[in-house]
Amino acid sequence: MLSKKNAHKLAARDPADAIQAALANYPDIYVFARRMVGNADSALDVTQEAFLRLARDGVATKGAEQARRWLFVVARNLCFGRLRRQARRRSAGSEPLETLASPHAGPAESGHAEERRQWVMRAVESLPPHMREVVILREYEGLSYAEIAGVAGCSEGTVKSRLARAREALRERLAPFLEGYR
Amino acid sequence: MMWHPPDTEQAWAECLSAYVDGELPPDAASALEAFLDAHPARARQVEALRETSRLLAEWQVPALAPDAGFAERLEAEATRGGRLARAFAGLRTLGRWPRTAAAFAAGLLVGVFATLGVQGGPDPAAGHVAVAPVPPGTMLVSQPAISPGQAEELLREVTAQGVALTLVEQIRSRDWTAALATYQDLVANYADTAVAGKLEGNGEVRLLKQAPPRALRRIDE
Repeated sequence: MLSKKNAHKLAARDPADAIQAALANYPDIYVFARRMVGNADSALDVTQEAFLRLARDGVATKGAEQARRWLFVVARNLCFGRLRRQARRRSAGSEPLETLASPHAGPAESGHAEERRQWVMRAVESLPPHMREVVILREYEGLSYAEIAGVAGCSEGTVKSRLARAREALRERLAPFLEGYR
Repeated sequence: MMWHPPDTEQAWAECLSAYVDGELPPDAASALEAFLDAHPARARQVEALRETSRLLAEWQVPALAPDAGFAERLEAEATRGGRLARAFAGLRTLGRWPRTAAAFAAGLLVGVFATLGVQGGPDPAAGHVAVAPVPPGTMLVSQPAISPGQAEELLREVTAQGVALTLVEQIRSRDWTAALATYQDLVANYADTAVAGKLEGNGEVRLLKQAPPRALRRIDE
């Protein structure tokens, strides 16, 4: 809400400076979106849209931390919108989601780094979106549970529970590689 | 606070996962470490979690820097956005019914435009409808002013605006139970809209998400 308390911030910060400061988050937001939606073009669209919305929403009225959190929330919501549309299109078509994102569709055994990377990617992408986002925000973005709860719009307890279930699922899907590690 | 070993496998999974992430309180973490020293099966679970994290780290995605002209585009949007934010702030000063009526009217307007556009009606950008004699046998084909997808997006935005206005009103009247239900509806159905993103930055909405309605009522009292 644009209260009197916030109005002075609007006048105090130069939008150009605020935009430059916010753009420092661009690589992180892109990488987050890329892992969430699974392809580079969609991730770029999500990233640019999140920044455009930040600019329209009054970038100069937000502090650096607030802007960063805001960008993650908006990017997350945009990713969920895209994933929902993708799921609708897939359910209308003949190709089931599992065949596109199951790690079991990959090679049975491999010691190569690139193939391991592909398996990891498919394992994360095969998680339901609510589990995928907590894994990405924790494992790759290094957010705390409280920060993840703020981005995902849920409680810290829910984050803890989703993360534990997601890790269990990942451990099962990546079992061949985990055994290979030992 | 005394730490007790969890009593279900799911609770163990959550506890160990939080431990690996450094999210347990220090005294609970110390107590758990002592427990792990005496219980190698649980210690192996912790090692498996760490191993999974190391493996996940192998999926690296190349970062991308913004295009050269993107900052200028954002500055232009920021100038426009400032005007919109002021207009939106003005809307909030209206009473409940005028705002509801305004949202409804906007929705109706967009709906009419979208329907006309989708069905190939007059192009609103043209500013007038050209009437010209049509030779017999000519097949009339008109370009839609707006695609069905765009119309759907617009309608969703406007509907989400209406839901958001209801939410603001419920928060203002401290009707926390109704506000939470409205917020959950907004997140479940309109999470990808601009207004949903805008609300995420609102302090009162954050409070609503963090505290259950009963706690919020207590704060009010």
